[in-house]
Amino acid sequence: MTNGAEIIRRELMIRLVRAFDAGNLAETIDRIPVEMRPRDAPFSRSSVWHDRAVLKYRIMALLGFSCENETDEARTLRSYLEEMREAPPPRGDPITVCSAGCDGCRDRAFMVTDNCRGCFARPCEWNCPKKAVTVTRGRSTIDESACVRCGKCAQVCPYKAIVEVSVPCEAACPVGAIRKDAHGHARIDFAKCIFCGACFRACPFSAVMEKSQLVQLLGALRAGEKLTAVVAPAAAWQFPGSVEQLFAAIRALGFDDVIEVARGAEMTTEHEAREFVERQKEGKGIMTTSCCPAWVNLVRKHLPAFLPHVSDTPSPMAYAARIAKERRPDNRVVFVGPCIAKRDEALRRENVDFVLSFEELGAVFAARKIAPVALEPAKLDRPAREDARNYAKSCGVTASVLEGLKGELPPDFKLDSRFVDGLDRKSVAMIRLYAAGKLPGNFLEVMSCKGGCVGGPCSLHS
Amino acid sequence: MDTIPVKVCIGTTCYLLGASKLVDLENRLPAAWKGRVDVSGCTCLDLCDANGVCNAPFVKVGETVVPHATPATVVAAIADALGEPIPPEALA
Repeated sequence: MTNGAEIIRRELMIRLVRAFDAGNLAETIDRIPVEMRPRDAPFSRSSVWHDRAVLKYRIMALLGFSCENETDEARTLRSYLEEMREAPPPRGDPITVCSAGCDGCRDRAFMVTDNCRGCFARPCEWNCPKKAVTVTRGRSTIDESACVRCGKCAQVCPYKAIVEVSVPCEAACPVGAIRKDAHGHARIDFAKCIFCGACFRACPFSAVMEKSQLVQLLGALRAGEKLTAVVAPAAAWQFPGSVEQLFAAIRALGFDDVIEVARGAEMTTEHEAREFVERQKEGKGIMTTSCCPAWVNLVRKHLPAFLPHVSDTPSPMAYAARIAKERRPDNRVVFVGPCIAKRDEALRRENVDFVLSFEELGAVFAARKIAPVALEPAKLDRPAREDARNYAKSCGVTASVLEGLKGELPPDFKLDSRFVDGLDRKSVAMIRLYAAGKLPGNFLEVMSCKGGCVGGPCSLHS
Repeated sequence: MDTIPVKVCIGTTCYLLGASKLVDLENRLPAAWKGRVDVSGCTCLDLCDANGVCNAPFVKVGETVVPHATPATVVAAIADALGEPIPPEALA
């Protein structure tokens, strides 16, 4: 599905990188919203001025600032840019909601549309458990004060005349962390948020934004800093061309060294397989994977009692950053991936200095007219193992750890591996059953994104 | 009958702004068009600078340029070039 929000988000990134490359970002940054939405041109919200206002907040987020922290509405983007150059804004929570962009969607409700024929059978009326539906003057009406939003009426209507309207961000959030504030705009409760990116994807107004390090990173590259890119395994499914060609393209941006995070995944597999055997010998019950940071956040914030069952093995990113530091100790490390929660995980890893999304990487390539597929492939010291590259796909971690377990387990041991492919309210409810010991299994893989990291919120194919 | 060349730009700008949804275009075309349409990829049609980034992705159907190309608009442009109505299965 083509999604206009995604396209405008990426177009803005490309323009920002172009302005950076032209060397006059400070002079032109406040012009970008006007150039993207000139007067009398088509607009996407209520007017070109509304579009420009939201584009301004979007650039603020691209500079690493939270929209929620704005204290002076009259501040220019240039002043934010100068502040960022002076001292990078604290990274903290990696997402922000722009209230000017939030439409304040109406609360979840069931509505009768013109499809209603006021029929004789009236299943809506007969099947409502709360007597909230009545048919008067040839049309069904729902008494909102009595309605409990069960949706029975919508299910049974033969004309599909009753529709559910919902608040997309609230409906998508697996943990109830996004709610409307007193002004009716979405606000994230960061004590609950697991940074899975579900609201970021779901919002049709694209009011949920990532706090980016893109401009800081471009600055570091221009200043000639030595940087090592550690690239998530999902990279193989992002751009036309091979992994080797993608690495050549990343080097063309000025990176000093490039490493596959899949090399770190090999180490995760080895460690996690050993850990699993030990835990089983000690009778510690079910063990879950720990590579998905949104999943680990879910346990930490919502199921703390289950935390001892989460593997202690460091993530592939953590191992890859370690490899990066061993190879070039003075380099700063940039994780490149499809994930918002990794921005949060990176804060807790001493060796990861920047996180760049595939979208942002693509925008830099686009602005500089670099097509990985047209480049001479880079030479890898050693390509990562296939099973480690497949960490990016749902069940890939399980397959890799099982491979690592071969011959390690006693012959009478029965491995019972289970997986959760994508976090939503339903799967979270199921995980609660695992945590309560009410479902069988001794190895549980959890991936926050459906299909695994390849379906990540900042993947080019999300 | 001549085949109609369809060139899908998979240069990074076009790819990022929507051409990633066009990579499987060939498989989505109706069977009746087999042999009459020749789909190929290219890394730049040199249109992005002329028209500004906001018109990407570009696809060329014969000599016609389709800006803001989506699977649906490209199928429509091919149908136009063939002088046929859009087969319903092409939009499924």
